[in-house]
This record gives sequence, C-alpha cells and structure tokens, in this order.
Amino acid sequence: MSSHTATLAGYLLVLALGTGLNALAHRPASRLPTLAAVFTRIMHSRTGRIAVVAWWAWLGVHLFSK
Amino acid sequence: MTAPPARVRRAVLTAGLWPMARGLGHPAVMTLVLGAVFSYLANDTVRAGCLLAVGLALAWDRARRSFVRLSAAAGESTPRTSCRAAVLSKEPAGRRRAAMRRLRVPAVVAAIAYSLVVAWFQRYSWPATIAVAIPAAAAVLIAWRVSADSAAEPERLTRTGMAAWALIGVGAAAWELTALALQPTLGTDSPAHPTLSYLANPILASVPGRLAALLGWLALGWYLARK
Repeated sequence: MSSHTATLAGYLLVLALGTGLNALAHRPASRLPTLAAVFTRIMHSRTGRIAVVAWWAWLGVHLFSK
Repeated sequence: MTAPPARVRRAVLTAGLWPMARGLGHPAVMTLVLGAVFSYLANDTVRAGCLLAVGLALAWDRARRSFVRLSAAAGESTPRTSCRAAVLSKEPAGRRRAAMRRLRVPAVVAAIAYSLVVAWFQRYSWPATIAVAIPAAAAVLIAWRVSADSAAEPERLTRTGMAAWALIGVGAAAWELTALALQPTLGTDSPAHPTLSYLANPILASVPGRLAALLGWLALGWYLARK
C-alpha cells in the first residue's frame, strides 16, 4: 500500500468513525450525543461560539485566500 | 495627578494576568492558539496572526467578564455591572432563529449570487482573498458583538459521548498534522502524504468546484449562526 493510499485510508477511517458515532447517537435512547448536540453545547458559551465562528472564517480564508 | 503606588499597580496587573492565563486554558481558546502555532510553522503568518489575535482576545474577554462578575458579586455598582448584564443578557437564540427564518430567502439569493461571482476568481488571487476575507471577518466581528453566554441550562452530555467525539476530533487533527509533518517542508505539498487542503485542490481548481465549496461554506456558516 502506498503512503498516499494509507493517508487517504486514515481520513476515510476517521470519517467512517464519525459517521458511525453520529448514527449510533441518533438511535432512540442513545446516551451518546450527536455531533449537532456537541456543537450546541460548545456554542452555549460566548467563548465557544466566537471560537467556532473564527474556525469557520479560517476555513474559508484557508481554502480561497492568499 | 499622581501615579498609583507600585504595590497597587502590581496587584492590579496580577489580578488581570491570572484570569487572562486561565482564559488561555479554555479548550476553545487553546484550539485557536494551537492553530496559530501550526499555521505559523507552515509559513502562514497572516492567518496565524489572525487566529492568535482571536484567541488572545477571547482570553482577555473571559478575564474581563470574570472581573466584572467578581465586581458585581462584591456589590460594586459600576458601569461594569451593566456591561455584565449586556454580556449575560438573554439575547435569545429563539429570537435570533426567528430573524434568520425571515431572512432565509434573501440570504439564499445573496449566497448564490455571491458564490456565482466569487467562484470565477482564481484561488489565492487578490479578488478571491478580499471577497472571502470580508464575510469571514464580518462574521467574527458580528459574533463578537452579539454573542452572549446562554442563560438557558446547557444540555447535559455524557462524559463517554464527549470523550468519543473528542477522540475523533483529536484523531482527525493528528492525522492531518502527521501528513503535514511528512511533507518535504511544511509549506510544500506532497502527493505521498496529502493533507485535506491538498486533496481539495482538484475540486477547487474548477469554477463548479469552487461554487459548490463556497455554497457549502456559507451554508455551514448559516447553520452555525442558528446554533
């Protein structure tokens, strides 16, 4: 397996784990929080809300700007 | 007017520095500071500076609010008390969501129009930089201006659940940073160890790809603003 494929596999594994965890969290009576619930909890505070918005801003600037 | 004694100045400085240091330990602030460090290491000085500035401003903001709370608890009736009221006011999420519901159609039209124009700009060109930096900076400034600690009791999340999500987040960050570290230099892309940005390059090279990415970015921003 080339290192390119291995790196891609790592990203896909993380994506699969996240998707799986979110699916588990959506089951009735699950004690796991959904990703949306985690974000709601983080953004419950002013600090968390501004930090999340700053990361969102960074993402756009990182992808498109000099 | 005489300057306060050195002892008083030291006490004030210490009282301000300790909450500031504690503010830097807040997980949300730490992610920004760490992001700034890695951006700097990747020769991305401007974005590193922006992340660091927001992180430090948030640490200062937490220190200031902590000071205001202490002052209020001590019964000081100062203008800071009204500042506290503003910071902790119930700028209700419900009202914000209702306003956003009313704005949904014009916002969608504006987002499509914006994306259709900006998608034609070459990545990393000055027009693209300015066109993306303006809404990004505006969003942070608006969030700074209107965000308040929610007065509602936060939903209780299980430690196991939070730990599981934290593990996935840290795992993703560690994998991305490993790929970054295995590049020939931190500023040089490597097909053998692709970062997420590198993987996004083929998509963002075309106008339709940039259009989709811009729409996705704006939709994510809208979703976060509703939270």
